[in-house]
Amino acid sequence: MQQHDEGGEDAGGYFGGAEWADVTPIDAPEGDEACAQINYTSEFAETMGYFRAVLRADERSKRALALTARVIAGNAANYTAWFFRRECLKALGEDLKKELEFATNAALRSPKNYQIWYHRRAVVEMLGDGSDELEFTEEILMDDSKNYHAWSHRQFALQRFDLWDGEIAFVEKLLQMDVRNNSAWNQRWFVVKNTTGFDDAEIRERELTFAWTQAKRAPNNESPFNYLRGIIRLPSFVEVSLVRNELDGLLHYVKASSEGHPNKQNPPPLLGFAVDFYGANGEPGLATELCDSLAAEHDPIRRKYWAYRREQLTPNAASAEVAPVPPSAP
Amino acid sequence: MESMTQVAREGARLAAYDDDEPTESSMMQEDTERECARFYVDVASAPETFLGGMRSMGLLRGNDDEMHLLREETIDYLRRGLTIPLGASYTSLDASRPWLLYWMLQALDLLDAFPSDLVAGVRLALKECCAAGSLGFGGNFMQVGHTAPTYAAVLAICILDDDEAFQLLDRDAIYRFFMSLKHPSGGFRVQPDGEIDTRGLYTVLAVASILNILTPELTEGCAKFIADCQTYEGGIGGEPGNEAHGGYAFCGIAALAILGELDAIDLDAFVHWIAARQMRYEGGFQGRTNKLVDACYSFWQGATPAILREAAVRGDLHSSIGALAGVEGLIYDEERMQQYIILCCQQFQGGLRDKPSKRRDQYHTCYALSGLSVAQLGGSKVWGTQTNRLVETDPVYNIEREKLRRAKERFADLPPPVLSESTD
Ligand SMILES: [Zn+2]
Repeated sequence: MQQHDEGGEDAGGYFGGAEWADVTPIDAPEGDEACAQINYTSEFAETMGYFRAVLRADERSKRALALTARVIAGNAANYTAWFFRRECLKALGEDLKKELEFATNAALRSPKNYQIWYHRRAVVEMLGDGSDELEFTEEILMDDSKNYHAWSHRQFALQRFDLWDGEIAFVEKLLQMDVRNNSAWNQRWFVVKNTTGFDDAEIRERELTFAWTQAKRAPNNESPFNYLRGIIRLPSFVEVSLVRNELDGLLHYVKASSEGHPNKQNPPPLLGFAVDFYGANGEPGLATELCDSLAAEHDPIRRKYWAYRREQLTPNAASAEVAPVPPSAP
Repeated sequence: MESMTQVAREGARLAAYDDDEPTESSMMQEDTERECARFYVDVASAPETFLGGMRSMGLLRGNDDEMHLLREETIDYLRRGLTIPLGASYTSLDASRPWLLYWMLQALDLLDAFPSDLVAGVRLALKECCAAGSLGFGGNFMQVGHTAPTYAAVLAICILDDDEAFQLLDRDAIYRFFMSLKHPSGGFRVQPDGEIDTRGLYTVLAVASILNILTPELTEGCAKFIADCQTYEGGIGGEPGNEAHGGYAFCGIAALAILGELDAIDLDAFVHWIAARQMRYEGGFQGRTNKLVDACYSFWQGATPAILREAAVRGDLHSSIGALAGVEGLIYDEERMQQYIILCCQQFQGGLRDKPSKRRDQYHTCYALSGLSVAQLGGSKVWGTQTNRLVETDPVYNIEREKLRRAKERFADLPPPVLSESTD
């Protein structure tokens, strides 16, 4: 059996020996007029032929398990092979810790593949042990800090195994490396939402303060402003004066900065946040003024959006427009 | 229409500004703007060597100063993909054959080059992908049924618009398959033992609505599942808690449109998020906040404003978001988006790419052209030469509108699906 796991082959090839003599491979149709065919290597075609035979016989054996690894090495996106691999693992009562190692190596080879990540989740579920998952996802994220599958898997593990303790610190470490890493910002929201929630005033204040500190570091970074926007949309949000002070202060600070890049004095993410904040907190005049300058000058690619926001912020004008024309006086 | 001479971006200045705090994200953004800057030049004052290059690529033709879609070259690229076996490097798409077929057919259809000589060949390929027991389609010969290849296969059949191809579809079996994937969260698994996400949900609803098997049992909890996937940014992620992402946002909005429940999410927040995804310099869309432009999001992100606009015009949305009906066209800049595709994403041998530093593929060719079709607003907003006009795609299903109508008509009068296999 061992030689399968190692992928070692004798002169007769992988399927040349006695072990596979009882199996007749099922070849895929080829040479017909069917569209979108692929010129597979002969090794891959042969492997797939034996895999189909094993699949049809529903043979959940050691050799079938080893064969799925061979299929996956040829195409990690073959979800049928992953599916059948799990069937074999269950039937054979395999050591799932070893399977996790297999999944680790596969993910390191192709970290953006759906099937590998789903497989890992399924194996971790079967094991009932998520103790390796934070370290593993961290390893992937250190290489590709926005890997969607890795973040999603990390969220699963945090939630499923209640591993929240160090997560805010982890998020802050990543934001220290790249304050524009929006996946890390999203993770911060996820952690707060699923641990303390935002209902407590102290938590909201802590989060507002954190986001403002990061926003000031780079006012052209959209991520902290989206985070702030999320907070001011919460039904529990009441820290209007805190936000107003921070916002007025930052607007004043950027306007006073010296000449240079046009975004320096008018960072679109900051101005856009001001539209939403002023608009929702009793200063529609300020908000519509900002909409005009964003549309005309600072964010012209979104001029239609800012004009639309302006319409939304001036309900009287909007309703007057659609109101029926009054009949002329007799 | 904006003339070619106005394509030059504001004083050649990049939009990226790192606030003197450079990080990996801002550096990659700056590099990407630079790689696009090569294509955004003022034709009126461009050096002859540059114009000569544009002419030899076919982007400029004769004395015309309008930019061209490389129609013939792209048709040739797509037809070769259908008829000549693809190289071994395509082995990674061995389990995505219905997708390959759909991408190529949809792109050809948009180019008004439906391959009527290849109907039998496509039909045969799809037949080879039928899963055992007619439980949907698999990724290739003898693979298990999965909602994504099932979606791709059904769309490919609709594009073929061929009686014999439609016979590959067993409504009751597909209904049983979908019901077996239904999860208590309201979502669907993508395969019997597979992930539950927004993509799975959309692919099921899209197919079920075409086949007229969209029962209350099937749709129960769907809108809530999507609402749970809306994030604080306003966009939609793959699972509750995941980051807002263009591909999943499309799946979520299109699914809600099918359900007639667009109001299930915070649409004001969504519109803000989607408008913010168009790149200030490049003109195309990014998939997530602070990520890079990519042509495939021209459709994934570009289609949702069209879906929302159609709902607003019908009067299906609440008053505040209903103002979308008053916007001229879509809520993004359609011309700048088209410029990104035509100038930055065409490969001169035909086919389209993610961005200039990437190579063409069938997936990006399909979605770049689909996004272009949406942005052309039924032909009323074609950038470049008027022959760039594409056939109009439906923004919810992404097949030609007329093909969708004809497919739905086939199933409109059929009885409700049967859940249990009849024994008599
Ligand atoms: Zn892409």
